[in-house]
Amino acid sequence: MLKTITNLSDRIAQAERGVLRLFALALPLMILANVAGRAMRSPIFWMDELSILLMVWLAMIAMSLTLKTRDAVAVTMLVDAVPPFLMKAMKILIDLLVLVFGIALLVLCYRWFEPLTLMRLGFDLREFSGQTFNFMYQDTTATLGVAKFWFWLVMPLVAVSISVHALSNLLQTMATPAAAALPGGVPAAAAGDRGAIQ
Amino acid sequence: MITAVFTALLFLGVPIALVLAMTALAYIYASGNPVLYQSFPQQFFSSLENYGLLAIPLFLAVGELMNEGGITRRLVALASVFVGHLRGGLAYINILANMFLASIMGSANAQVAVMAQVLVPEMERKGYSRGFATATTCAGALLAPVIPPSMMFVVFGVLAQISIGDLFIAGIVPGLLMTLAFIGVIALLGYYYKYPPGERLSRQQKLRNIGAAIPSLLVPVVMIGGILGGITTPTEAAAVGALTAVLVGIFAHKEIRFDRVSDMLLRVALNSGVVLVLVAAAGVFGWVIVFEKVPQQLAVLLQQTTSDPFVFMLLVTALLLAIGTVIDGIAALILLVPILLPVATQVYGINPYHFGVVICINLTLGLLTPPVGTALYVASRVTGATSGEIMRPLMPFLVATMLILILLCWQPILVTAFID
Repeated sequence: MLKTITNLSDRIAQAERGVLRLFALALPLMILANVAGRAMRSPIFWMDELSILLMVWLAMIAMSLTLKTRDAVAVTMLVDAVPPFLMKAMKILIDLLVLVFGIALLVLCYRWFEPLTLMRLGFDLREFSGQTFNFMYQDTTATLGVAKFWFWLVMPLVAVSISVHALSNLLQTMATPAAAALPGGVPAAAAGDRGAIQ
Repeated sequence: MITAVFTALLFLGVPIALVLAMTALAYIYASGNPVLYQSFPQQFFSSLENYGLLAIPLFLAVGELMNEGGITRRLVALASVFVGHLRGGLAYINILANMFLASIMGSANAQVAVMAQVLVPEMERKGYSRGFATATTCAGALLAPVIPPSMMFVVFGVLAQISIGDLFIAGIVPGLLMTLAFIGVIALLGYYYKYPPGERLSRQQKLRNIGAAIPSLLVPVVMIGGILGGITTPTEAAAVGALTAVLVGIFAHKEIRFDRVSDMLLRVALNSGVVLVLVAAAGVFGWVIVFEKVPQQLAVLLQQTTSDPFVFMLLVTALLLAIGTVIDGIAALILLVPILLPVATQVYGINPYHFGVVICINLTLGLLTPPVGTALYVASRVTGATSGEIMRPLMPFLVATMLILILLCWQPILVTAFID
């Protein structure tokens, strides 16, 4: 069980790293293309909106990955100061809460997207909005002209990946003896690389 | 109950972004307003749909690129042209080189990591103690988020809905004042520390150092020039800066290694993700603050204490210094701006730019104050000096920054002089 979940989490993380690299490269190129376009008096008007949406994806995927690697900013003062058995208990509780957040986000996304109702209505978007008063499928982006829900899909996606990462972390924390250093348990206060943003 | 959930999660060590998001969920549950559940994921997403925030990954990319391209060494060499001959020359060089680098990098932690690697061993070789060398570098790194560009100003600009470009301009005078104050501190400490003598460079060497640094200086010139001249937005300026950094790295310094680009891109993405997620979480946490009328309650409380904007700013300064010891930089900014800004601007009539610069400098100090001081820990890890060894010589620099803060609270013109 532990191995399967850890493997799945590692694979998802690998894919997330790939996507993040791609987005980090694409963002400056897109802004530059627009600067050049504006200088030549032919700005690509939808590029700004697309780059913003890409940045939101980048942020959400990075959130999932930093929750796996425990590099997200946290106040670790207390957890670093307590005796090992209490530290382990606190870390289990933290992992559990991250898991609860992942699952809660998934449930909220389910209620937001209402996929079953949509299916039941044969993907008739107008009928869906009429019956549910949920207009999320009819919302389009301002300049791209694409339905917004394609971009919102990142939310359920990261909800799933956060849940898998958190479950993997939770199982690993539980399997590690209290006295041993927990895997990846770098206190955020000392995680200079990730903390390099302040 | 909401306050209890928030405090418990925060001190348990749950990532701060999730603390904010889960407190918001607890609030929705307690308030019996389940419609908000449906908006939760959407609000989390849309809080980030802001053009200004794009500057964050781009400025981080500029810093990474310049670092790959060997900029630090050249800036140190440039600073040595001006102050290298003085007694204690390397300490002055440290501050000056940090000031130059601050016009390229926007984060104190990143800057202290880079500078400590280069300057501390060099200062130790010349006879400075490791603690003093590290403390000077930490102080210099305080300039990174004050002198533009600055991650904190970007986040403040987005939260306060004011011009990020103007905030950058507002940071210039305070940044220069801090540089002068730090140079003053080094001069005063000279009576106590007996610095090693400086090194006089030949005229030829000076010219060589200046020549080698010119391509590096193109990056801040392009970025800050673009913003000051109103030609580019801060986001565009950062993208043009990144392009310049790539060109300088490839053609002038010839030091960018393409096999490391992949790692660099990942670092940029993760570091920006950490900040951006905090902003996203602030979007849902904002509900709690707005619906519970937290700023209004605080305003009533404060108005009983004082009606004077200066006293209010001093109170905020004291509060933030205390909070900064436990919660660092941008995370604290995200927590406090939605609460304090409406009180500052609407009740006390304080200019939002003035308020922003003061609280950003204030929270930057928090990066160096234990028990939670990320920049202090980064420096300690890079150089091997203990926090205690760094803190003692660092104190005079922190006191100097506090005096500058009080001056800025007292005289808003020092911040707002160059903005409309």
